[in-house]
Amino acid sequence: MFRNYLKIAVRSLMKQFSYTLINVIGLSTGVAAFLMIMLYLQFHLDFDKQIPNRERLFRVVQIQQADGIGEQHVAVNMGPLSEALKAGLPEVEDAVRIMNWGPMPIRVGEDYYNQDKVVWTDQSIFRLFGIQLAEGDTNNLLTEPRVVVLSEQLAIKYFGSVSAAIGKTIEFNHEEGYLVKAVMKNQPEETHMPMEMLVSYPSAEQRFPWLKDWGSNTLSVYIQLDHPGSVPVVEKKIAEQAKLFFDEDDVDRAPRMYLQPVGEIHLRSGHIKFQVNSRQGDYRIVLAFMVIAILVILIACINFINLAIARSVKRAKEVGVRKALGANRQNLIYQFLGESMIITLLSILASLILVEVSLPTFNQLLDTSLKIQFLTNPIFNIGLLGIWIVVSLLSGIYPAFYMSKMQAVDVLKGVRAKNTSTSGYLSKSLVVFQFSVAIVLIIVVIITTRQIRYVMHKDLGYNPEKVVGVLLQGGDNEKNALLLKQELRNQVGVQKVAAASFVNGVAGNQSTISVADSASTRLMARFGYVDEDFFPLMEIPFVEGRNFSAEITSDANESVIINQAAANALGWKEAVGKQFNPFNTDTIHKKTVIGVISDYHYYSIHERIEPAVYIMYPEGYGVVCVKYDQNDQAAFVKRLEESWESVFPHRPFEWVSVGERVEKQYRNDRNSATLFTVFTALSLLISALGLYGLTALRVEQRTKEIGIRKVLGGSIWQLMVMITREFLLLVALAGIFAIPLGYYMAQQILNQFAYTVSIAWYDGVFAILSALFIALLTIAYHAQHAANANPVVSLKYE
Amino acid sequence: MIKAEKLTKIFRADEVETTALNEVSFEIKKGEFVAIMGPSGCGKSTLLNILGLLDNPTSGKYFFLDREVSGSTERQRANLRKENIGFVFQNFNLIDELTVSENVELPLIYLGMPTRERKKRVEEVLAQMQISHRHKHFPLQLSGGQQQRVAVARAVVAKPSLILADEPTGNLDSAHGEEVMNLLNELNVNGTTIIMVTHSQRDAEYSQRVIRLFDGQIINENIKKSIL
Repeated sequence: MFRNYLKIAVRSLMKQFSYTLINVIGLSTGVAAFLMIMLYLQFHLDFDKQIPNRERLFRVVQIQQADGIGEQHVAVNMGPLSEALKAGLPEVEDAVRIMNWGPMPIRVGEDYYNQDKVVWTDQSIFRLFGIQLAEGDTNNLLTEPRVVVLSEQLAIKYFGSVSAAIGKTIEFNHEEGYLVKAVMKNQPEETHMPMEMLVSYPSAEQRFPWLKDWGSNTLSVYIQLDHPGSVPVVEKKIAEQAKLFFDEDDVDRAPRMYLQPVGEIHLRSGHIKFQVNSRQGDYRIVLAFMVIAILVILIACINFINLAIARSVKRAKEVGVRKALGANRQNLIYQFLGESMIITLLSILASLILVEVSLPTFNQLLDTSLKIQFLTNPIFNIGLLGIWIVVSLLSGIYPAFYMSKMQAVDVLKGVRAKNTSTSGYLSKSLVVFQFSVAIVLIIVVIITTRQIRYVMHKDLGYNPEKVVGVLLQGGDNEKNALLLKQELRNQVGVQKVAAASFVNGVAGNQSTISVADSASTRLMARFGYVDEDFFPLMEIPFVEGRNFSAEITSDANESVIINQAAANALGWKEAVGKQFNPFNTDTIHKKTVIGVISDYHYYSIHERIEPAVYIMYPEGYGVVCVKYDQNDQAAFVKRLEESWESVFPHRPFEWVSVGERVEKQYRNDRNSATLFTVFTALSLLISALGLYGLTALRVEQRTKEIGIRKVLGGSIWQLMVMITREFLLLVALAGIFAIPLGYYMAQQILNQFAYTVSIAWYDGVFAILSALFIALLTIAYHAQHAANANPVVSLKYE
Repeated sequence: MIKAEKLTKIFRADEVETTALNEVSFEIKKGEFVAIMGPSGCGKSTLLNILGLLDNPTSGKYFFLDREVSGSTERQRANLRKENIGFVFQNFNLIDELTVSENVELPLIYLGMPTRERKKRVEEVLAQMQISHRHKHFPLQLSGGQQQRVAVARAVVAKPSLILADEPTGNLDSAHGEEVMNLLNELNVNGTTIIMVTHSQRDAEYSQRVIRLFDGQIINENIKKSIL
């Protein structure tokens, strides 16, 4: 029996080759899209999998009331917090501090490095983050000052081999004598907290005694609870027992805190500032892709269903004969489901090829490393099996029940199986659904593309073109910045040079400062350390006052420049001359505002421009910016490198292109938009394919009617209108459903940006028109073919 | 074998009600060859469909092999059909995607017969119908007469006790028509009960009894003298 089903399935699929092709192309594209998105999802869900008790480990997040900004969530905490929580709350089993200040200066022998992924941390890191050693013993490893643990690759980079590293000392953050006591295994790439080098926390406390104060707020704290269910209790206790943790003086200013599950850090931390979150993802993007994946596969299934129903007319005779010969409904249901399983299987095989071919591009766009792995990824295999069964059932079940229900007597009597009213409505509703989805996606694509273009071309408030930043290495920043500036100033092609904390002008830290003579007027501000050349180099205009000047000696200690956002937050109409109490490392001099710069986007356009204050603080300089007038950036940077080596022979040359850095901030958005566009095109293509097949079958069914109409005098044009109208009306109806949903989804995407384009009424109209146009193109071929046919032939055929 | 008691079939479409069969009663014994005749629309095919268990009557009783089946479910009817009834249709109704052998094999598959036995039976019956040389062809590659022979082979392969033939020669020329009628006659001689709907007086000559229908009612039953 099975062989018979198989045989008839294969032959009937071969006989209607174009129909089979439409189904296989549609389904394989749908399945391929689905598989890629599932791999993408798996990639994101695999983040931080190496952590042993992931469901019980939490990051402590603060909710601060920031003056001038409002509420903000930050993932930095006070130095003493972890120990206080561990000692004071029985639910807290273990805790760890992790302090990451970005790239750190390191010297190994004569060579200087600017080492990334360095953290000061506690002994408990080994337990809580599941770090294993390649060489050495974890016992009391990080309990003494000046002890470091290197990753295998770092040990090889510095000392040539893992074993050679053990027992050696390095200079870390300008301090000699850090002992490499152990080497840890390389950490997986899929983690929010990549670590190449662990430095014992006591080293940090010895060097920065203020870390012991509750006023410090600079490191991440992770706690392991006895049970995931203890979260509300612990959060409540932290709120109630602030007195236990904070000094009397600080209790009032104790921030609210909550516990974020470690498993959520990777995808659900968009709202959190000051965090280490490498390759951070966004659950909304992942979710959107998932929805699209399901929709695309659903659209492909709908093609299958619709074409099967339309084709049932042709297969009615077979059903009737089989029934007369003794087949019961079950036999027929199995048979038709078998066919859908064959088509789905073919499609899955084709989709695997498609996925394999398109994964490299997909990986490049999304900065992922997805692979098809049959052997090592059982979930993938189970997933494939699942897709096979679900898609086969989804697309085969209705046609199977529908066709097996046909009565042998009707079929054999010569009464052609007609589209019953239910199946007719169903077919139409499914087409409406398909095109609604396509139109929603078109709307989203139109609006997001406009937003991305807006973002890419928005005036950032400064000019990032032809500016590179050369990173200062190895400390002594004041002197080194001066040396480098002098060296570079005379180089061919250099227009301007300036020193700053970073190429965007800000240092990355944020602190509260207070207005002089008014203890209650405070401002949470970003700090920027810049010299007098920075604002002119970046072409950032002043709206009030003046720039720093090398000639005015008081500028070094007493002057401050603020941005408009800061002036607005403080309600200052005229800011020049206003004063702040001493802040930063200079605790003596009050700072007087000498100028207000126009707001510029020092971070990406996703974020609102926050208040910022700029001072001349040479020790805080981390970069020398160079504005050049050459066309060949690579050649120019090569010459920069030569100059660098003449000044700092043992220090690595590292540079950033400001333009590329800006571009990179929107790369994710642009790539996501590209992918959305691709998936939209796919869904449209599959819908159109379905419509193509459906029109063909409908026209075939109406051959006689068309013939009679022609005999009675119908013109080709009238007949074409008759055929196309049926489908175009459905697409138009789809548009009506799609517009509100499309506008809603587009708005959700725009909400991710602080500055957005607006949604226009014509976006929806344009989307509907595009869908109608594509539908018309699809239908037109069959329509004109049918309308031009010789009625004598068609009537004879009938 | 078959007993119909006041069989009535009414078709309802919107507001129109058509009585296709109106209290038809008759009996057919095992081994009989009965022809049902009458003008178009008199209810012949409706009657045949009910007798073939493809359809249920609106009212009345239908005894098939001494069992009342008028209210049976589709599943029960399907089981009775595949074990006892073979069909021959005017338009052959072969499945175009299956070869001659595969078409003939189909009823045996639904009966769940083992493969080897199935193949043997198919070979035998194809030989009997003199169509063995065409067993690998598809229906559309055959002439009308050949197609109807395949259809008859399919109808008899499961050795049913009853064959229902709906205008079996309607689509054939006279030579092929005669061929098919001879086949049916032969089957009847060997003990198979045959009920045939036909327009053709010539075909009806092969039967032992003619039931004439008009407007859904039996107007007379002719029993041929030769049998009496």
